[in-house]
Amino acid sequence: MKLKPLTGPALDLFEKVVMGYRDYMEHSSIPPWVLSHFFIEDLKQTLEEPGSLKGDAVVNVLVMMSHVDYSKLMTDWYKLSIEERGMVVSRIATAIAFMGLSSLLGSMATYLGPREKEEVMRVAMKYYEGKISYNEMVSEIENIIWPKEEEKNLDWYHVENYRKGMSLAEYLPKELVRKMVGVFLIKWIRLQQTDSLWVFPSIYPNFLE
Amino acid sequence: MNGKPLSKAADDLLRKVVHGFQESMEHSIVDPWDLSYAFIADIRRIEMSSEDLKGDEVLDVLAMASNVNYIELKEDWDKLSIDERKEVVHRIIEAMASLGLMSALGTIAIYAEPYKKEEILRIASKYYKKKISYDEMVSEMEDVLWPTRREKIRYWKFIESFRKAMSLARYLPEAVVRAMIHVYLINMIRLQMFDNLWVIPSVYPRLLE
Repeated sequence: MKLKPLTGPALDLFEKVVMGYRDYMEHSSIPPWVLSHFFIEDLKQTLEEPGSLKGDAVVNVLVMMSHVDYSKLMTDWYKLSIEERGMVVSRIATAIAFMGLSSLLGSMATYLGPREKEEVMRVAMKYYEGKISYNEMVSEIENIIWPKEEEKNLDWYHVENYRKGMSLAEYLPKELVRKMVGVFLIKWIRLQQTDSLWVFPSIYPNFLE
Repeated sequence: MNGKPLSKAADDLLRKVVHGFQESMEHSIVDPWDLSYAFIADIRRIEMSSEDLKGDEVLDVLAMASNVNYIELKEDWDKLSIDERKEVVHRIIEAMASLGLMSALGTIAIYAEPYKKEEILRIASKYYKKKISYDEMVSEMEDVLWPTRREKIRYWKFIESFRKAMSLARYLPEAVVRAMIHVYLINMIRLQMFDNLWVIPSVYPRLLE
């Protein structure tokens, strides 16, 4: 399932944007899945404009999402053919979708109550085993977190964010999404079942800093 | 790690301390594994002293670790027999070790350079398949993270921190440590190998905040 490795200015651009995005995401007050959804939508809309890959419209979005200097990104951008630009942008969108969805799945595995976690794991297993679709899983999990219509209405902001976060799966290969659900909603939750307290860390500071 | 059921006072004390510790770990500038290591060392020192758990010296450490009021903890503590105190303290140590070790493993899976992650995955798989011991795995990983003598001298502080973090495994059952290695150093690294430039997020904000 490995992708073809990027090289040269395409790799440089990818690394600058993705690493910049990660740093920005880590310090933002907006949840990663909302940020990812926002920037991917922004990229999509920009790409829909005719000739968007010829000029710098896409670079402006990349600057916003990575907080990397415009001229630094433009240096790499100029070296790429239109086809390469399209490919790198698509790879950036995939990487960002991966980070946003991972963070949301990890957040559920970390913060839901023990009973909800068990329920979520049960639903995730049904999806993992191919018994239900991804969308069915998303809907069942939503009903676990917000079981009543009243709760959904009251907490509509978080419900919307949850839906946006889970919709990031559409930018990722199905097999990868299945593996992500397997790691975060099954293995992470199972790991917590060894202790009645369900303790699990939510922060991973950089070891080498 | 799911030991025998605790009395209400013991369970209350356990939850207050562990959840308080988890919360303060999230807001501390000290790395989670260093925090766990330091507090466990303090608790163990008191346990081994002549004072042991008959008095309330250990409560100072628990109050500091959890940021929970000393008096609140003392109310539960006074209701416990010496055996119950031992059991609760043992469970607190396990939870602290678990949080610190998981955070360190997650950090390695997130921040190590891509080629180092592949090496770490290979070493972790050898440990998981019982081809090498835990200590051998730790030593091999150290050589992957800091391969040259020069790096070992330059980054001695990080190496010390790494060793302390990995030594937290001694407070946990072997099966739990193996499960943690499987999830963080095998499953999570494998997930990122879809595109070797990808990174798992290091932040998991609360879903409903």
